[in-house]
Amino acid sequence: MNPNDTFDRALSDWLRQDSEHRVPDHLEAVLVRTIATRQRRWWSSLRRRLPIDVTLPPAPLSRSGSWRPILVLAAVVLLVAALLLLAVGSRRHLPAPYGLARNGVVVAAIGGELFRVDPATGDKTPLVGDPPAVGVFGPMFSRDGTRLLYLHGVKGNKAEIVVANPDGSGAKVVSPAVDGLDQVDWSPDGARIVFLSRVLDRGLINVVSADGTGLRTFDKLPVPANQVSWLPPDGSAILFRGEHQVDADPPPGIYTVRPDGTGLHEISTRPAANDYDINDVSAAPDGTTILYRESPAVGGFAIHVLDLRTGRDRVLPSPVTAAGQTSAGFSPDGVHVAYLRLSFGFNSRLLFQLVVAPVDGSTVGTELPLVGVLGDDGPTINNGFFTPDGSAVIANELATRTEWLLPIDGSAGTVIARGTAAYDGLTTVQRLAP
Amino acid sequence: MRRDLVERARRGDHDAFAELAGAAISRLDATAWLMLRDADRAMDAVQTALIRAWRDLPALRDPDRFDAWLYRLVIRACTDEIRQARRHRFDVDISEITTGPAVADASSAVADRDQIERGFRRLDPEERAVIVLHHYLDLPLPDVASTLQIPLGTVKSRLYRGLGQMRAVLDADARAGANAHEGHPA
Repeated sequence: MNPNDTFDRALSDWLRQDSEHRVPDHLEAVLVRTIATRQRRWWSSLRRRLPIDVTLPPAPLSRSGSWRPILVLAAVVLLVAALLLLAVGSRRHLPAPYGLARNGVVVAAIGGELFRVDPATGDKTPLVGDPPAVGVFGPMFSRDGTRLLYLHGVKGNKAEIVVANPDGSGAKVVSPAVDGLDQVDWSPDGARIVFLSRVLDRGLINVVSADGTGLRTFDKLPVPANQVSWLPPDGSAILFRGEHQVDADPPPGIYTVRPDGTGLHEISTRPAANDYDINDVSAAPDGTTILYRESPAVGGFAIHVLDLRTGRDRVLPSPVTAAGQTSAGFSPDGVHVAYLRLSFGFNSRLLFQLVVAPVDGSTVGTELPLVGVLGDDGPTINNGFFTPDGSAVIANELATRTEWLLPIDGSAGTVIARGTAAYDGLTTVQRLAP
Repeated sequence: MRRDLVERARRGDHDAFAELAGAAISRLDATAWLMLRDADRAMDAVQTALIRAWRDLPALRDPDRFDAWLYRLVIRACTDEIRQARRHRFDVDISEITTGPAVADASSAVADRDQIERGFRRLDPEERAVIVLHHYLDLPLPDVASTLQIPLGTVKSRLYRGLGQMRAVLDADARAGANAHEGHPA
């Protein structure tokens, strides 16, 4: 035994002896205080995935007439056109990363597998699900529609990111298995992925290339992160909400940071009223405007529209009957926002109504025919986002495990997927060039 | 069973939380005492940590990490206490004044309780936290890093620095004792 061992043992012994019976019993005092303390509902920071895309199949081409010569000529022209396309490398015309696009393939996670879903009929075709990929969820197409990522649950409540072709082929794990992986976003050019991991519930931003190289974890940021996404339009910054989890953390706020982890910058312009304030952060497709939720000390939730160019901060109007509004996200063209409107129903039951409204605040918007309640884990309406063409909103109703496609004009919606387990049905829609 | 309690507490079952808190509080108190050397402030720190734990429990993702999370909250509450106290008080270490000549066996580095305590008091809260988690709670260094959310290398350097400072106190005492025996000024 060397002197260091002796010292270490003496130290351990001293620590044990010194710590005994020093602090009087105060358990009861603690419990009196905790029972008077309101637990923080997890949905005080409603997490919603980024508006991705959904698509309805294009109308089939119709053909009429019987003029054989014209048909022959047309066939020749088509053949030449096809050869020309091949000659230029058969490159597919890709959509811009933001803005309106054409709806493409719909992929939904159901029962730990991925399915390609026909939104018109609800028919499902297995996409990913054979072992060892069982336990996949959270599908998300890249903004150009050429790649599909999804999460793969692994032992120990961890998950890893898998990137594949849109048909599920060529799957490759591109991230380590981490705790708390439930927020992922493609960079505008599809070359990188930002995702959140958690260490003891403290959120860390990670950036990795879509091929799995160059993982970078921002473990030096002085603020825990949440609600991470890529700030449009050029991919030069990552947007997130800074959390206040312990006293040493700064108050909640909205931040940007460069993809290399440098250049942390707070963009929120007013102090948070409490730990729940300045929440549910979401950016406009052109990156000039941010939506966030105000949680005032007194009164209901309010949705703010913050103009990053001018610093102007305004509140979206709400009907006098509403108890608050929350969880807003932009339409692909940045003209509309979809959000949840709170009201009290029979027996003062809290209701959550899906709403689409103009972002300019000119009206209080249109209520879509989907109402949720407050479930065990928060509102039963989850993950609302606009289809790529902006014509509808897709939202997940947790109580019935159904994924709805709801036109923004408020007309009746359709069920595009039915799940078998909690949080099933989460969907992504491929964006195609207009 | 414990996971079940955490799950119930996450869903707002205060009785389940009371059971968890009751099982943990003596070690939390001891940890806070070791960090703060003051019973009242230790109680404050533990109460702060447990209230935060109850408040934020619904957001805890992994129930199996409840203990580590709780220790992190306590350590953070203690660190905040120390920093707060340093902002408002003059930092007078009475051990400097009251310590008499010590007779230490520097060759074997065997220290008595007073010497260890004196050395421990001189440590920064970050170094105290690493030593308490590793030498009192017996957490392996990777777990200490995970609990404090700092890199393993930082844990090792803080431990090395903290233990080094404590040994320096012992060595100084030993030299002072030797000088006193030989009639030289310390």
